Amino acid sequence: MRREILFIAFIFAIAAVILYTSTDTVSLFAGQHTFIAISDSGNQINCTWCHSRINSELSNSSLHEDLSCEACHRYNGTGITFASGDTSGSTPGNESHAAYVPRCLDCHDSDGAWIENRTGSLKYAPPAKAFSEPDHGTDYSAHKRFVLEANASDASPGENEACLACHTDYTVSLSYSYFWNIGYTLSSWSFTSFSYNGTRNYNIKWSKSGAKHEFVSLNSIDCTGCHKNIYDALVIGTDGGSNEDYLTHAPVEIDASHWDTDNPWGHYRYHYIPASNRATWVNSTYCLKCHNVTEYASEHPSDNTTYSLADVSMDTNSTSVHCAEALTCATCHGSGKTKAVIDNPERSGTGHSGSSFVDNIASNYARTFNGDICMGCHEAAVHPQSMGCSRCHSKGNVDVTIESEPSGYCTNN
Amino acid sequence: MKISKVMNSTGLIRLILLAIGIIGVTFLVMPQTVSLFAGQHTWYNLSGEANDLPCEKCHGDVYEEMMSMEPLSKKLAGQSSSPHSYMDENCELCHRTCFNNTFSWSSGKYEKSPGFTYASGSGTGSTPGVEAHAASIIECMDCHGIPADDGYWEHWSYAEYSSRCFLCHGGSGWYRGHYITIPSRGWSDFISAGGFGLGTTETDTGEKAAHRQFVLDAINNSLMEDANEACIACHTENQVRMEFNVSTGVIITVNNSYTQTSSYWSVSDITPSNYTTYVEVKS
Repeated sequence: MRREILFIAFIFAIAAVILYTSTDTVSLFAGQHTFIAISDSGNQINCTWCHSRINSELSNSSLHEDLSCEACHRYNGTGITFASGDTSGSTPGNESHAAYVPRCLDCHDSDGAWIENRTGSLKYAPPAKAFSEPDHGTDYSAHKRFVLEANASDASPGENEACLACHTDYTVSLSYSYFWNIGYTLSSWSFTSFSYNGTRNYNIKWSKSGAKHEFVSLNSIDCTGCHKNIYDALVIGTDGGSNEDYLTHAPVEIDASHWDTDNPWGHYRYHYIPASNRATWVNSTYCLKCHNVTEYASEHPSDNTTYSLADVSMDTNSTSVHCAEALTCATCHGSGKTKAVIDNPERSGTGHSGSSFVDNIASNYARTFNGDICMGCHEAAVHPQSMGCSRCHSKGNVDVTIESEPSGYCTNN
Repeated sequence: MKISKVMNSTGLIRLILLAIGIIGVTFLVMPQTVSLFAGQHTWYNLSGEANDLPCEKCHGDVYEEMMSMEPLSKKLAGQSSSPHSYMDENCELCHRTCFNNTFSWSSGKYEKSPGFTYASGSGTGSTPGVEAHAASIIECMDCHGIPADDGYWEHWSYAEYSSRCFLCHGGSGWYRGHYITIPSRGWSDFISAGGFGLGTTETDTGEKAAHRQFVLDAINNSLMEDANEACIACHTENQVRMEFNVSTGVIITVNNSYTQTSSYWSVSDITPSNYTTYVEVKS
């Protein structure tokens, strides 16, 4: 009984204390009257309070990982006036208040930009080659139209969609539409017919982490991520049976019985990859062999010497492109070029050496057909041996049908 | 048996007599009835120019927040430029403001509106409140959306602001019994929240603002007044839980256009895709 009385007395005491101390009303949103001081130099409103995920992405990035949010999103090189409370006064924002979504080319423009990183060091953001030039550079850049269309798109500011696709872990899905096959007939190295047929719809998904703020290093950009049809054309193609691998896009395969691993220029075949290495060697470096000779030569000094790539580079327009050149076989093998077509003295016949055959293809047929026209004969699997050598090598009489990438199936009669 | 023992106790009899004596004296000296709530008849004098009521009596939590922004010593030295830090005991500067900006969806700009009439006992007469009695829940943009008064509100002669210019604009004046000097903060545009294209200054285009849609959606949301949700999310320590829905990929439609003699690749469509949701909590 005594305990009960003490307990009741205790309850009364607690209630009295609560009543005495809690007569205030309580604000609905606690903290809304604790304003963040913004008078010190720089930004005191921590972007990562709401954007910690982006901070995590950036910490996993191979590039830009040392940059603060403000370095890009309050970049002062564009003339934007951001709101600021630095010092005792304040600056009202004009074009933006706290932050803007930058164009990648704001920093990577033709002059580049010096950016202060998190440690206070200045880092140079180099120009985006070609794309930072007026009109986004020359038409030789294979991806120029992509950049132009990205610029016209309202999905992201400026050309960013194009930049993100290659330079970040943003996932890319592509829906391609192009011709199914071509057919042509040659008589004495002259076209007597040409046709293009059907439509190939090719969808690929280059799955990545999806993080727009995870930038990949330049040597990690995988051309075959978007161009898987070409990878498959070079590696898988169409299995036509024994010794008939219809691998197209470039002469990656050799007909062991007739085509040597060396060639009339006196060096190992430039495009060839041994079958066992094909799946791994068909990569961005292999793409650069043709689509950016200058870059490949600088990264492979030995090949530069072996293949006279300094001269070949001069035959191309690779110095004026962003990463890849839109080219034809004639870019390197046209008449007057370092690697102009010559005959193999080990074989009979004159082929189309010394003629304007390759130039004619480049000049009079759409670029998209050029490679397949050449591959109609230069795919190893379409080397018809039962019909005699002279049909092709001397007379130049062929009747070809060849499928586009990735199947590449071809008949040559 | 026990009762008789108790009743016979000399000590108890003395105690009862003492209690009766005290009660008698109490009745003698306290004939008044006692009010239930002590102090309820001690009325505040409202005749001063500015607000005379201590808001913090009920809103102690808000007062504590206001006091926590800067050390009092720094404020007394006139060195605090933390937003609103000098308004710790000057709630009326915001909650009885004469400024009133209204966002116009048709113009996309803030437009000046007549201020509220608050109840006031300044001077000898009194003013009954109209839109609000003691205080209103203000919109941040009431003050931060103004390029300049230009005589519309004549806030310099408004009772709550008169002679207290220094608290907002900088300068000298009395604060908590101390005469302090705050560095000048300027006059026109000095607290404008520009950069959203909402007409807070003559040059406010907001064409590059990353958070403009957040502000517009906050204006359109009824949880708080006007754009306050957006302002408070970034500029205060209010906890924020944000549910993001973002794309992690893009679908690009690529077409090869060709004739026999010419061809080109073109991108006909770029559409963000692979949306994912995640939560961020600012605490």
